Amino acid sequence: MKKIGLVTNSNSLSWIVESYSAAGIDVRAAVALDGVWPDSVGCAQAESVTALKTEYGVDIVHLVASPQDQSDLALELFAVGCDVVLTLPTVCQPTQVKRLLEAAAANQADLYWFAPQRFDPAYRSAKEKLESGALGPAAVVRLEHTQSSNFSNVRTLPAAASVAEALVCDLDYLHWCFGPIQRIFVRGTADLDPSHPKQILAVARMAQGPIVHIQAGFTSDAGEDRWALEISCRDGMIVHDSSSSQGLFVQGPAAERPLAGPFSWLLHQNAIGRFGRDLLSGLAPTGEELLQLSYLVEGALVSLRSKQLTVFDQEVSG
Amino acid sequence: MKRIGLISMAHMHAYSYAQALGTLSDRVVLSGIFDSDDERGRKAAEQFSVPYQSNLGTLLACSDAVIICSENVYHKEYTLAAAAAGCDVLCEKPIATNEADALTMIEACEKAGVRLQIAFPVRFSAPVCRAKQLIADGKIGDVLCIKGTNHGQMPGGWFVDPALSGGGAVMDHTVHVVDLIRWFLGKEIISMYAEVDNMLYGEQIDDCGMLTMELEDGVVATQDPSWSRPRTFPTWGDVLLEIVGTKGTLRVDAFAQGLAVFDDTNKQVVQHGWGEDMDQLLIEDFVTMLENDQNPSITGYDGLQAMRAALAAYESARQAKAVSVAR
Repeated sequence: MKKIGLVTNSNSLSWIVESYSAAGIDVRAAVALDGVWPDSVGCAQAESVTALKTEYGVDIVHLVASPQDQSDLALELFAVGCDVVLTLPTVCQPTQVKRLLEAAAANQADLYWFAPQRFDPAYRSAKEKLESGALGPAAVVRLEHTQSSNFSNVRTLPAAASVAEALVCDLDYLHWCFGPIQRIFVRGTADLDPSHPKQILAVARMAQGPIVHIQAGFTSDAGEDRWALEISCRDGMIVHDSSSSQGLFVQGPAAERPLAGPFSWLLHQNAIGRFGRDLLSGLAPTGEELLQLSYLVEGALVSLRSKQLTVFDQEVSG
Repeated sequence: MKRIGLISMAHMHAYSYAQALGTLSDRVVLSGIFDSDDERGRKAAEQFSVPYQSNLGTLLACSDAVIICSENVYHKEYTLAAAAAGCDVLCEKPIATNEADALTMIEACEKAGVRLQIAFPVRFSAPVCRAKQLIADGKIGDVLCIKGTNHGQMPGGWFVDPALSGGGAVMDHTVHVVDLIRWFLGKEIISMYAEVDNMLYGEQIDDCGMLTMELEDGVVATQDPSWSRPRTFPTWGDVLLEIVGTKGTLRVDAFAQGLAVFDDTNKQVVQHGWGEDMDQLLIEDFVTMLENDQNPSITGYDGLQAMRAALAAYESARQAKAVSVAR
């Protein structure tokens, strides 16, 4: 079985290791990018990213870093023959993704990426329900993804990068469920005032027919992410809202809210566990898929900047 | 005491308007009902214990004002007749099915010196009114963008006959949210991009769509006017708004004031509204305007602009690009 390593900051390290562990997957070793090693992390501490390979024999490294750092770290890992998993906020400019794919190929390594909605049990379940045909064909899809306005990336990332980050999950989920995206029209507050929390409103059309509304942004003041979907089909409708699906509410200070906080803890834990199993089975979303997604994100940004419709070549979107 | 006639029971709101007039019997009298569908009109007249008038002229002659709830395509004909008879008009939305008809209606009422009000009852929802006040008071700062929905179930009947309705879900539901956005912000919509289609019911009319609008100050808004609520949905639909400002975000649910009722007999969960009746408040507003000789709170121009947005949505979908909205 391939061995997994982790590169991230100390504040994410413990829970990602625990998430893999909960799925029965050991993280062999990890690197804390900020140099702070939290107490009681269930894996060994590597001194450097290359040491993950040379000292611990890690085959695949799950990389959780800012988009600015991801490319350099991934190239370093490819150079020692490690496969790499990118995590949001991820590199998603086509030129960057192509460069990573080329580097991976040159070193007989593979590039993967963690597409969160594909592993979120609610979103997976919605896809399965659609595919069962019980509700008939989908007509209108609404995806909503609101992150906390306190999320550090909001203020530090350039507008285009944060918009890309906001849209990448939703575009991936759409493509995963419904196939090619035919066209997209994107507007939002990022083109009005880049200093404000970003809110993106997009209307898209799938090649198979469904009309899509995407709301993605960083305006939640509730201190937690909110993910919601609504899919109207000919014979029924699927609705999910993460803010009402946590199943456990504890009154008191934020620190005592086990299912709240910056991440919907158990959902993410569950998603990472599922992802880990797919990763070890060679079924995780690939770098080629990320490249395809990067073209969609690029098209969305063109629409945002031009205030015009972007129509995708079938070859790109398909 | 003002006399108000009811022209046509084609639109379901006619029944709640008639009921509302009944509660104001100390202020107004429902002078009668005329309907091009004789049987429908007679039944309604019997239901509300008022005279049925088989001749429109007879109804107009005994009325100071009329409420028009006909199929959309006949709004112009009835408004012109009412104006010629000197009757003020409350016209169900949309004002008309095309711009020329709407302009003719507005002009005819102006020339005749009668008032034309358009029925946008959602303006009278308590959460909506409070939201308008909060925006006006600057509580969320400058508005940056708005996400709106006016979902519904497919109403059937003449609503799905383009010759009578002028359009499907987009015509039916765009106008409500557009009116609220214009009312909240006092700005006009200048451009529209829309996806419009027919995928839910197999009728020969649009049943779903998605609109993206830009207002004259750069505010961006989207709206989902789809008839996309399943038959098992607890209520007919919704009017939801999320308004993002520089200082905060407002979420408005115009119909949230209701009980969830789990009905085993009908095997359905239904929402039983307990909030204030918007249709009642709309009628009270119209009656107050008549009594005090005021200007309408919702003008023909408001109706025109809301309808122009809906028409622009169809045009955008036809051209597959963003289009300008007439002002």
